[in-house]
Amino acid sequence: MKFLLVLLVLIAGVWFTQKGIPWIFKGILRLVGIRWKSSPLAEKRIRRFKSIRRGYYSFVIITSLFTTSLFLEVLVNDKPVMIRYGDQVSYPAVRDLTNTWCFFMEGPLTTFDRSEDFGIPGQGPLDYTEFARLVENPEAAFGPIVEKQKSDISDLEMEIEDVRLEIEEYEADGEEPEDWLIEDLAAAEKQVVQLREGLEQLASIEKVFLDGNVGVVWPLYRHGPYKNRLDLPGTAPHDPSLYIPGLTPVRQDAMLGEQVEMEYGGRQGMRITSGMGSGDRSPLSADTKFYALKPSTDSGPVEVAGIVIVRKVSEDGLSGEVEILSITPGETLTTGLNLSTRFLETWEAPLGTSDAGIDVLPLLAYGFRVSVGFSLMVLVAGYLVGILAGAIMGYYGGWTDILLQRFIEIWGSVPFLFLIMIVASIVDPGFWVLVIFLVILRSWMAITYQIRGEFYREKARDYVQAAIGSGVSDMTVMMRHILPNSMVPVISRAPFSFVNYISSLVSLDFLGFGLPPTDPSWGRLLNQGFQFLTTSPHLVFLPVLAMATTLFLVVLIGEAVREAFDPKVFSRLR
Amino acid sequence: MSGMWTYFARRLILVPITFLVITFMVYAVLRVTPGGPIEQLENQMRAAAAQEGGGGSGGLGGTDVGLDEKAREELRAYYNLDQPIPIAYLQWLGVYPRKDRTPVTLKEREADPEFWNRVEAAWVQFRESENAYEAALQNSGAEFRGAALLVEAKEAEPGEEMFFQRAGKLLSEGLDSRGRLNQHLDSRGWQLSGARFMRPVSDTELSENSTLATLVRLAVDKDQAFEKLNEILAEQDKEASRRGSYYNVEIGFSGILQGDFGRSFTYNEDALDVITQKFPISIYFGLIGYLATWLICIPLGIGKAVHHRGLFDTSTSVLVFLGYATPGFVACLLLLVLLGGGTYWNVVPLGGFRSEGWGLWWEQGEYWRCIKDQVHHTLVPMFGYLVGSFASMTVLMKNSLLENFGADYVRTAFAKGLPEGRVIYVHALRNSLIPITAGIGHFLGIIFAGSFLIEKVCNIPGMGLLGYESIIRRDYPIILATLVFGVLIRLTGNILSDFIWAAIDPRIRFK
Repeated sequence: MKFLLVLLVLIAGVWFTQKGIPWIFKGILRLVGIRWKSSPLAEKRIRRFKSIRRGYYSFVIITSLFTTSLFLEVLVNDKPVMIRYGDQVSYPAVRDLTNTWCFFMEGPLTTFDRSEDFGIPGQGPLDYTEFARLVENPEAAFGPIVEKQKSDISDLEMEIEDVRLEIEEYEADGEEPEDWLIEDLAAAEKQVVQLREGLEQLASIEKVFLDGNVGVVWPLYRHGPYKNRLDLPGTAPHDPSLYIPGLTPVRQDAMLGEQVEMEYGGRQGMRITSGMGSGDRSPLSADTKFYALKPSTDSGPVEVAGIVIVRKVSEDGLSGEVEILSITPGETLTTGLNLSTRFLETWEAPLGTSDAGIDVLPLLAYGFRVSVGFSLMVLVAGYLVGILAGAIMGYYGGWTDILLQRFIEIWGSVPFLFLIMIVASIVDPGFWVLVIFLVILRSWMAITYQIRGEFYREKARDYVQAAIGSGVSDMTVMMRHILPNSMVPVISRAPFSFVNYISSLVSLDFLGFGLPPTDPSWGRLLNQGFQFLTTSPHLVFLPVLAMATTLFLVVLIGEAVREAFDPKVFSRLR
Repeated sequence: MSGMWTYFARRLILVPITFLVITFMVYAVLRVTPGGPIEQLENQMRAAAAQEGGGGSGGLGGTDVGLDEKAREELRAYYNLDQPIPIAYLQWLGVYPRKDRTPVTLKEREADPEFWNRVEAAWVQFRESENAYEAALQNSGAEFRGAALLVEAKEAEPGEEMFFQRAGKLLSEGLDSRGRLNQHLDSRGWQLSGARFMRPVSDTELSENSTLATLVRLAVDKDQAFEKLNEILAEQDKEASRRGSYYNVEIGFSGILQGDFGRSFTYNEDALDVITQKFPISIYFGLIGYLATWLICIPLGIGKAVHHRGLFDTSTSVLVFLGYATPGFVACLLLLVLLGGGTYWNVVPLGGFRSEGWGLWWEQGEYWRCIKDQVHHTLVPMFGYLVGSFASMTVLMKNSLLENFGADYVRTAFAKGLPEGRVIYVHALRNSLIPITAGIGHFLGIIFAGSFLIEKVCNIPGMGLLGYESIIRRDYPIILATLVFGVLIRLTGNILSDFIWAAIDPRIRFK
């Protein structure tokens, strides 16, 4: 089911990117009144590009993934897309976005969800998982509370009855009943009234839940890149729970000892000892959840027989007592079972968690968006500045050209990583500061020389001279006449620059001088992998895999673009 | 030819200009940004005080651990931070005279015992007066802030009730209104010390209250004693600091032009010495990486060009694309995870230049073990350098060879009936190696300065790691020294490249 949904989202992403966006773009152009027409030469180049399969498919994949990633908030998030309680509807997943972009709006979009508005007493923010639990199974959730309230009321009523009897005894004896008895009676009666009111309220809330007037819509993946996974047992970083036999290392930390009679909230208890399987007798700690592992019959992957939580640890820390939280139906926990903090095939955190306990899967997904968005910004801004500078140099020539050339030579030698590191060791640069830094210090120079050369050459052509002769302004000549004819180097270089900027961002984040520490980024994940080099290889493998795949696809696009726009024909004579 | 000489002359003239611009930029950025050596020192003192648990902080008055105004001033002078940025920059360059302070060594002191006895006496006098002053200060409950003597305002004086009340109200509002409180107090020259209001002492109080008067006198005494000490020292061009060290003071030109890069704050050594120690390590790894790149990329590029669009070309293209997609340091990380002995295989050590006992083994004559160890440590960084320039080098080689295949002289050679091998490997290859040979200059920077990232990942104590750590520790002299060498090497390397190109390829003409 979930896989189908994911597939559906991806297909929708591809369709929207390849068909929808061009359609919207053309629609807007038509509305504005510009008729889009492409030159036959450009058409031919695009056709040639499409004929190079690997490049074209990479293009489709990257662009579709990026547009899909723009909707990550409703796809991968720890907040539900929508919650409903009676008339109260709210969209927590996109609240941050609406707060940022629709700050002028009042009402439900700008506030947080208060618990009491959604049927849970209290003024604090709503616990979405708790709410979802209520929605899922209201009877089970409300039953015990109602029972408790009811028994409280009957207890109180019995007490009241006793007190009444006592007072009546006093009165029968013709004495004044003592003051405190009357006070007690009044207080108890008041409390009963309150409890009954509470019960009624609870009943009305329960009715809303039972009638199905509530709803919660979760994103496809229920964990976000900012919240740490406190629900997972053990300590971060957690290994991935994608179990690949033979490749995924299994860490065995403890073993179940004999069964003993213990009372933990009426549940069964067991005694455990530490480190029997692995040889390293690592001490146990209280409140660690373990997965009881049972080797399957044909020595294949290990199965989870149950989950236990450590309640008591002996003084030497090498043995303890556990409470059994859950047992796989039809299983019993027996002596000699291995316990592990790994989750095997439970898919709790398929890609593991980072050192702060944040789920890696959302980190990678949001990191993709940040990296690609960042590089796009740097690319576009840098190329705009670069084209302008190159155009001015090539078009005007003379002293302008020479001075700018010298300036670029000097500016190009500034060790930019060095400078960014110095500045970033003082202030945490945000996304935009980093973009501006990279544009000013480095990226605009990449294209300037080629554009200069193109303009230099094109300016001498007849059509440009004719345009100049007919009195068109310099700016128009540059932008309208020359520029469209000198875009080839720009387009064929862009993908490779793009690769460079992603690498730059990853390097900066790796060194700790990039985006703020809370932002999801591949480089920071890599840095954590570097710190946990020997214990958590997934923190290196996963970001590297994500980065290398992305860059590989972009390089494929780049090769195809170069092939299509700027084909080099090598004559082979033999 | 003359055109080319002017071209290179122009490039060479541009080197100093570029150098000046870059160094000035970095110098200014370093000076403007907070977190300099003095703040680092204070942070250290604070951390040390926090470790002691706040107990027994004798001379450091109460809660406000840190340097007092005068000591800070002295330190600023010592680190040359008291000059305006342009002048300090010129002094650093060595074209503007500066006061140069070097610590007085024990030997110097033994050489002239008579003079130093006098100095010692003056120092003891200063310390005594300082101790007396501090004791008086602790008894009085007063405080010096700069030149102003402050005492606690316990209750409102007539005419000050409103002022006092408002201050008390602001104080009780907590940290949020601390800014407003300070403003309020400032308007009358008052200050906040902990939760006490300190007000300046009036002249009448000073004349009436004998403790305060003594305190002021002691403060003056202390400063006079220090001045006297410095007067004695000035006879031999020396200075003392309040923290108990003596300096030789010379006024003269002393900057990087004179080879004086300053003393490293963290290593407490001459910056130049620190850097020259690191140079060989970076060169070793850079050179080996560069050689490996040559050995692999050139044959690969030739093969790809010869089998252009063939099976070999297409299949190795995947490698080239992967090379583009993987930065060198990431490749190192991957290798370390796989081979570093963590989860998978234990083949290579987790970084470092050599094992700990290397020198000992060498002395004991275990040469084979030394070599093996060195190779082990070299593998991962070498691979990193290789991956870093693998793609561009291979593609450069391939394209350059392909271009030559299309040239007329190759056609002629074929037409003459020469065997294919001879045409490719003798005629065409010789010319297509030119751009790669000329690239040596560009690689100089990497060879000498190392790669920040690879050296950090592989924990190689070379230039790159030094530069990185000096930035983190804000070790100005080292930061600037690595910058100077890095920039110079890169600038000259670029020119060298062009020069080599022009020298070996007579067709190239720079204008």
